Formats: sequence, structure tokens, C-alpha cells
Amino acid sequence: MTGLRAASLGVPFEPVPGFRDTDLPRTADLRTVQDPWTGEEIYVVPALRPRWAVLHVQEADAAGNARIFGSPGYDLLMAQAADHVILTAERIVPTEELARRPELTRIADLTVAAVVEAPGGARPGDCSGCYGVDEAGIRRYLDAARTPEGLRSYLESVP
Amino acid sequence: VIPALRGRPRPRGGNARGGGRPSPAAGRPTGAYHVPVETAGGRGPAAKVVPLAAAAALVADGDHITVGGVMLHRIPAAFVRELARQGRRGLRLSKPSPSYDLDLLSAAGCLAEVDAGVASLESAFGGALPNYRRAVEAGLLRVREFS
Repeated sequence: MTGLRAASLGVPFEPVPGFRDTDLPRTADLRTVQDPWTGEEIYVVPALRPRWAVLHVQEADAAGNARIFGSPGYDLLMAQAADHVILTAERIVPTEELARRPELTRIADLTVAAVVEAPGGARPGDCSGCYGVDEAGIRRYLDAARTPEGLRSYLESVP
Repeated sequence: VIPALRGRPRPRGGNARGGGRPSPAAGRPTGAYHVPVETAGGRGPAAKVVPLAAAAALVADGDHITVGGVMLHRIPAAFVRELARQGRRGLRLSKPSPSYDLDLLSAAGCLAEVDAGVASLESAFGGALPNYRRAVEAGLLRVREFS
């Protein structure tokens, strides 16, 4: 999360509290810098700047402006950190409809490269206000993915 | 890894910067914003609206991606399945709280690197991500674990 935030701000790394006396700095290649005011060493996380942020939203217009209902999670940060955004949306709505409530627009079209109309596109996960977690769908995936053949037929049968 | 999926032809020339180009992520300065990209469907007001397969074809082998949603909530699952169907390889996935998405991409052999915070299905499904775990234990993924 911190790495995405650093990328969203255009800085090469960001300091994080904690990590002392754990193995995480070694496994994640975290390094320290010196606080220029106090001289204390602090761990920093490198910026994570993906080429693509792929986000599923409830509503988007054809230009790539989007509304997210319920918790946005890290999606807004991801949209700012990545070079380009790909949206899948429960509904594609007219721009005029979004313009009636501009404060609800969370993703701006500027860096959006593609918009896909994908009702049910978060299944077997949930989509706030549209459907809940499909528990049978999760179990079906887990069963299928035990073998390569199972996964292959799962991918062929679940859009 | 599914050898059967590897044989599927990858659409060429359909992605944003021309087919088959290597991902230029490594050489970019961190401070440069708004890298221009042609929209997926050419020009015009509805040019960005494309079918799922065309959007997934924008992502090239080796690209660095992040995937929205938290755990099982509002994840672009259909898109992730399409990446697996298209047989994408060598992706780097950065996501604070992956679940089904990370496990499926691991099972399908799409990933080379993962930056993750907490990686888990929710407790109702036993918590762990079996295919991610298998890929890590087999040494197929480079993993960085962050907060």
C-alpha cells in the first residue's frame, strides 16, 4: 500500500514505521534512510508503479469516469499509482447521468484506457449493492484448481 | 502451470503500444505522470468501450499490474480469468490484499513476481491460497511481502 502511495505521489520511496527486529526488511528488500532532522534510521518502501490498474466498478461512462459504491479499498490509490487504468463495470451509464452527481465520481477518465461492460464481473467475489460473495462459486474454483485440467475446464465454463 | 493454455495464440498488434513490445516499466522515472496511451478502441466518444478479451489483450507478457478490490470484495475477477485464458506469462502483481485473483493467476502460471500484504481467502474458505502457496514453495514466484 505504501509503495503504491509513493508512486501516486511521484516520489521514489516512502518511510514506514515498524519492521525492526523482523525478517521482512530482508525478504522484501527494504532499506533504511536517515531522518535528516533527528538522525534516526527509518525503513523506506520503494515506489510500486504498475503499468496497469485493473478495477471493477459499479458504474462507468464510456469515457472512463467511474463511481465506486461501498468501500473503495485501495482502488483510488491504484488508479493514481498506475500508468493506465482498465475498468470493468457492472453498468455503463451516460456521462450526463454521472454529471448530475459529480461528487460521486471517484475515478477520472484521464488515465483510463479501456472500459468493459461486465455485469457480474466480480463474481465469485461480491460487488457492493449488486451481489454478495458466491460461496459455492469459491468452493467450485478451489476444487477445480487442484489440477491443471480442472482449472482449464473451469476457465472455459466460467466467463 | 497449464501447458494446454500456453498454446493459445496471443493477439498481436492489439495492445496500446503495438504488439509484443517489452514492458518499459524499468526505465521510467518515478516522477513522470500520465504516460500517453491510445485508447483500446481507437478514437471517438465510445472508443474506450471494448469487449473483455480486447481489454485483457492490452496487458502484455511481463507487465506490472495491480488489481482492484480487497480480499473477495469488488475484484475484477472476470478480467483475471480472461488473462489466464489468454495465457499471459511473466506478470508482476502488486496488491495489498489479494485473494482469489492471486490464487487463480498463480494456478494458471501467469505470474513471475508478487508484491503483497496479506494474501488470503477469507476464513470461511480456510484462509490460505493453495495455488499461490504451491507456486511459492515450488520457487516459481519472486515474492516481496510488505505491510
